[in-house]
Amino acid sequence: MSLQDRREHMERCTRCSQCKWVPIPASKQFSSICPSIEYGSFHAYSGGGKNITAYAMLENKASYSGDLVRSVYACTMCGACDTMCKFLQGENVDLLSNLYELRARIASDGQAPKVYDDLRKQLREEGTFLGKRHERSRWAQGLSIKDITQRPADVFLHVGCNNAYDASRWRELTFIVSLLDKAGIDFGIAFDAEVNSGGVAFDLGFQEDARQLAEQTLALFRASKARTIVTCSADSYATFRNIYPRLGLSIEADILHVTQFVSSLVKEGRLKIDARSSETLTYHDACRLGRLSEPFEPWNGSRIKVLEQLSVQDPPQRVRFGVGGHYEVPRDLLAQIRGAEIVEMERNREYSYCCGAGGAASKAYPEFAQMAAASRLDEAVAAGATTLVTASSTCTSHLATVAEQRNMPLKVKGLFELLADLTGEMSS
Amino acid sequence: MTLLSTEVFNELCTILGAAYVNRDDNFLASHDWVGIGGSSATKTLLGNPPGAIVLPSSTEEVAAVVKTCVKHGIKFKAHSTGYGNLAGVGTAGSVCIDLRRMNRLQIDAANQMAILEPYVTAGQLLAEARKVGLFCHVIGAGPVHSPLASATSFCGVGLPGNFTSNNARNLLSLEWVTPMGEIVRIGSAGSGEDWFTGEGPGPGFRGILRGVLGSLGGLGVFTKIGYKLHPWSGPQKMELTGRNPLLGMRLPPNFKFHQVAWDSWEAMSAATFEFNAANIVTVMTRVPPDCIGLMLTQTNREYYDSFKSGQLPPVARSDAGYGWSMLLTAYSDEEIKYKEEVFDAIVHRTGGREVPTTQEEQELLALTLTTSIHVGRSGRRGMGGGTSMGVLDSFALLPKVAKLTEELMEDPLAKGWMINAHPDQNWMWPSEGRHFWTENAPNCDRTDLEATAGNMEYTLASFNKADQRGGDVGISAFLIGDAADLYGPGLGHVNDWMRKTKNAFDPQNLSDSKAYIQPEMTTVAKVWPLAKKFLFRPAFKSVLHNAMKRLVT
Ligand SMILES: Cc1cc2nc3c(=O)[nH]c(=O)nc-3n(C[C@H](O)[C@H](O)[C@H](O)COP(=O)(O)OP(=O)(O)OC[C@H]3O[C@@H](n4cnc5c(N)ncnc54)[C@H](O)[C@@H]3O)c2cc1C
Ligand code: SF4
Ligand code: SF4
Repeated sequence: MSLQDRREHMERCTRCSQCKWVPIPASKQFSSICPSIEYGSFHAYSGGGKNITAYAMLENKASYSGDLVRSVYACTMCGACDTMCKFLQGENVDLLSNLYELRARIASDGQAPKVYDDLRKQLREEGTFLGKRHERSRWAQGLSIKDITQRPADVFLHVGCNNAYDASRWRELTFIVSLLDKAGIDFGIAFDAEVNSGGVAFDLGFQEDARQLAEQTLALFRASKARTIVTCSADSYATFRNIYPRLGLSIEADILHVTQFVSSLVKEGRLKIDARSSETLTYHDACRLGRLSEPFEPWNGSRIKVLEQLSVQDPPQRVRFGVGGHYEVPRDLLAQIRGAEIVEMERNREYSYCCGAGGAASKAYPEFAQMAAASRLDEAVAAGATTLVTASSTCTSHLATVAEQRNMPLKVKGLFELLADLTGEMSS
Repeated sequence: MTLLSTEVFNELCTILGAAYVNRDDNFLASHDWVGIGGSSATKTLLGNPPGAIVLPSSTEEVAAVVKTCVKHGIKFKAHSTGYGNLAGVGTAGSVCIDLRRMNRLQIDAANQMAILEPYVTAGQLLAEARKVGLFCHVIGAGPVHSPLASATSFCGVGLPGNFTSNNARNLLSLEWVTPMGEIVRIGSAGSGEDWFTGEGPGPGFRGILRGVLGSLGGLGVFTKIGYKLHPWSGPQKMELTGRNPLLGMRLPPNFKFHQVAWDSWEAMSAATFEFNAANIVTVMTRVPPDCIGLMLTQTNREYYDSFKSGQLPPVARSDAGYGWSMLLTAYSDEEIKYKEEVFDAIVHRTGGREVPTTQEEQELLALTLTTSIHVGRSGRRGMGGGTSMGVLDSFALLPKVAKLTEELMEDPLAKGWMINAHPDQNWMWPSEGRHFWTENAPNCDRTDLEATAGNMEYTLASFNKADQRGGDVGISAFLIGDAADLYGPGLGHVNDWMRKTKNAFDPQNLSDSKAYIQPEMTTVAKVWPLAKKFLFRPAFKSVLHNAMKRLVT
């Protein structure tokens, strides 16, 4: 796939600006769906604007500049514009695919923001952009967990970079481990052999780096012979389901997010949630657990004209409308907390607003990422929540930091962090 | 490469701050894009970029930008949300005044009005108005468009118009930066009192500045309006049903949706008079069955497969009959009961029948009738196409207009220039329970040159038919660009009055809209009285088609 291959799709953009908005806003304040246009204001920052930039590059009508790069990279690749574009345009534009190729072109031209050079180097050398390779499993020190690279296990527990390197997330990890132990699951982790799954490199346009990381990850999975991969990382979950198929790669085992796995254990009666709270909780749908985790299905076909003038995909292509993400299971888990009131933010599920943490945009444009988080936190407060809960550690870390900076009357918790707080542990 | 000089660019930066002025190539490209069929339909990047984009945040800043343009003799054009094919600047190098940062909204619930700036979207206004039991008019462009742009500058008829009127009449007070950079407030806004009414003593400014169509950026910049809101008996917060993209609205017990059909346009027209007289229907709109089919399916492919296999539901089939989607709303059980009884009686008496609909279909169509959210989805089938004369007249014209336009579509349909589903692509609705609006608007693939030209031909032929018939099929509302001079003479020489207005307020012709009347008649307009005698004859068909091809490339 190349930018040129996307031309026909790009041409279908009507410049309707639906990619800036939720379909039917519940208020003016929370009507936007795109942090990038909120930040940059010029149309070029919107999903549709980036699409025009891509097309203008093909037509030699856009030359590289600081403004061009900022308008493309001050963006979390959250996919909301794609979901909204598909709302109106169905299969016509397939915006997210255009954005991936736009970034790939910019990156291969060596024009991506310079801060990403370091990130890339670190990814190559350390297998992560958050620390050193040998520090990856510090969180697991003192725990008795099977090393799946040495001994086989039924379940490969995939940890994810943010969980592994952000010490504030370790409590969640140890809690998850305790749950799996309680339920009698035969599982293991890859300790320092795990590497970044490649999603961030792909988002930034470094598709070859992404492929290499993906292949390393797949090799680990294959070698483990585990039938089930359970990932604690929303970022990786989206990468496995949405990015790997774009790279022509597939995973032979079943892939589950840890919320799904734990929820199924609860349903099977192998775990019981015994938690009580008087808080008002709201759930933040992380983009990468939600709309971006909807599986991508490779398609090889063309457009044909039917009914004289109607252009359709032949053979039919499965279109990702954002509804195939992972929305209800985390809510079901929260709903089991007795006494807690659960309220929805105005922008939820496939229309969720990105908190600004994704796609490593915060590395190049921290003020952009903070702006997005502030809007999301305000929305939680407006919904009446006292605690915002999310099932992505990247979102949790970022939202918690911004909430603290802004001194907000709102707690930010990871879902398992909250359960750990409320139960101390789950009973089996 | 920008056509704007560094001197002017720097002046604009001084007024607005450098962060809010841009002339980067790719930023300019994003204001040079036309994605919906129209005069230059087969291209997307027009090669007609502005010289700079500016983002003012206040009326005073807009006025300062305009004055700078006037000082340097540079054209400028206002841009609200930019949805549609007339959003770009008329002349390369003009200053695009993007009003995105002007989005203040204030609702005066007691007086049923909003005071709003250009970048308040209809979706935002609806959300805030509903909270206080009010509703706003939403044109077919749906929640993403700017009510201010629609109310001041571009037509403004729309699906819920039976109860929300049309924007020519929803526009109350007005703040305006004239093409010379003066700030003018009109009506009670001008008196410094509340923004209550659009007309003070003397001639009405709403007529001068907009009429039925609007000046499309050709008469300066409108920066704030008083806008009429309408009582709403529905919930303060709309509860959505379904998932992306098949959203619907939960129908409260006091809301009833009906899809009703008659066997002929004549029977539908007669029944409509009865409904209008009874005043029991909140929204009545006719969405062409093919478009309902597109709304009820997720992709073009799904639509096509359903169409081919005969799986489209009754409401989306071309044999669905001639009829309305109707929404009855009420404040109480008694009121809705009364309305339903009257409704049943009229349907029965006029030989109508209810077309079966599922709950999901009702919810999706009710959301469409009130918010137009799915209208754009029906446009996904081609993004190019044509339209007929927009008729703002009596419902008695309905049969004649529908048949006339269907006749005009026969030839282009036979040539494969329109999506070959059905010649009935008639969108219709009443405004304020009386004026009848309709467009028979076929679609084509905008990238197909022959088809796009064929659809332009159909549009022109339709305007011409209205012109020839001296008003017995209503008026052609879309007197855009040259069309004002072509068809204005048949409509009370309105083109002369438009030109006088344009030249009086914009003596240097800097308010840069090629879509509004030009200060001088163009050559095309001058030769038109003679040309139109021949162009629509069968022998000249290829001449007209080739001329349209040139226009769209
Ligand atoms: C799918 C679809 C359905 C539509 N359905 C309808 C319909 O049912 N009824 C209808 O009336 N129209 C309809 N339209 C056209 C519609 O009127 C315009 O798209 C809309 O009104 C313009 O709002 P906007 O914010 O997009 O304006 P823009 O595209 O930004 O501007 C439209 C025009 O108004 C001028 N303008 C905008 N703001 C200002 C300002 N502040 N001061 C001076 N001039 C200004 C611009 O220069 C431009 O010429 C439809 C368009 C689409 C694409
Ligand atoms: S990208 Fe899609 S939603 Fe955005 S302006 Fe273009 S067509 Fe509209
Ligand atoms: S991916 Fe997200 S931030 Fe980027 S343009 Fe789309 S909606 Fe905006």
